[in-house]
Amino acid sequence: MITEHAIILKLWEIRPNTIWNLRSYTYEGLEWLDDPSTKPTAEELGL
Amino acid sequence: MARTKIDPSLIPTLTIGFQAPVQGTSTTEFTTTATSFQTTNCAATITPTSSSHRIKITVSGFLRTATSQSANSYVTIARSTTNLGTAQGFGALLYASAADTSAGALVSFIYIDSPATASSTTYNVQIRSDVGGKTVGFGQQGTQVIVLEEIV
Repeated sequence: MITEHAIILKLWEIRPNTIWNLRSYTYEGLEWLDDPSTKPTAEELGL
Repeated sequence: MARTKIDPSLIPTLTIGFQAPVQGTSTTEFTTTATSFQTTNCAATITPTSSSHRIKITVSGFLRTATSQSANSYVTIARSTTNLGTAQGFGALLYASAADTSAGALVSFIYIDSPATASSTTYNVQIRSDVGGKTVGFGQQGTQVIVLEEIV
């Protein structure tokens, strides 16, 4: 069964359909590629 | 029955083999929502002993489309940033229908590259989504592996 990590679920919730890379399940691992939206803060992601 | 003796010196010498392989592994999943190929955590670097030698690349890892994302996931090998496959890479994991909650499978493929260099060369696994904003991943389950072998 495939389960989603909490950070992915949060990204879908607060920044739906945006473009990003996630190289680890950490804030440092989040590379924001979406323009003009902004990378959410660690607080917004609950990290 | 007549026997013919073969002079061993007349037999052409064929030498083929591999240098010591290089292996890169990761157990950390990489996910992306981009439609252009993005570099995952799976990579390895090799320095060929001759610019005329070819490199055999073997890749294995778990490719997936995230839950209810309704997108196909494509995987490829890149030499640095150069895609060695097509726009669809070396293959795709196709989601069956919008009703699917997720799709994932262990994928493995092989490619022989001619880098034409004796300098340090990095190969990495890249993935992309076919729908922008929809999440695909590589390496959620188990260990991702890339093996490089110089053919001499």
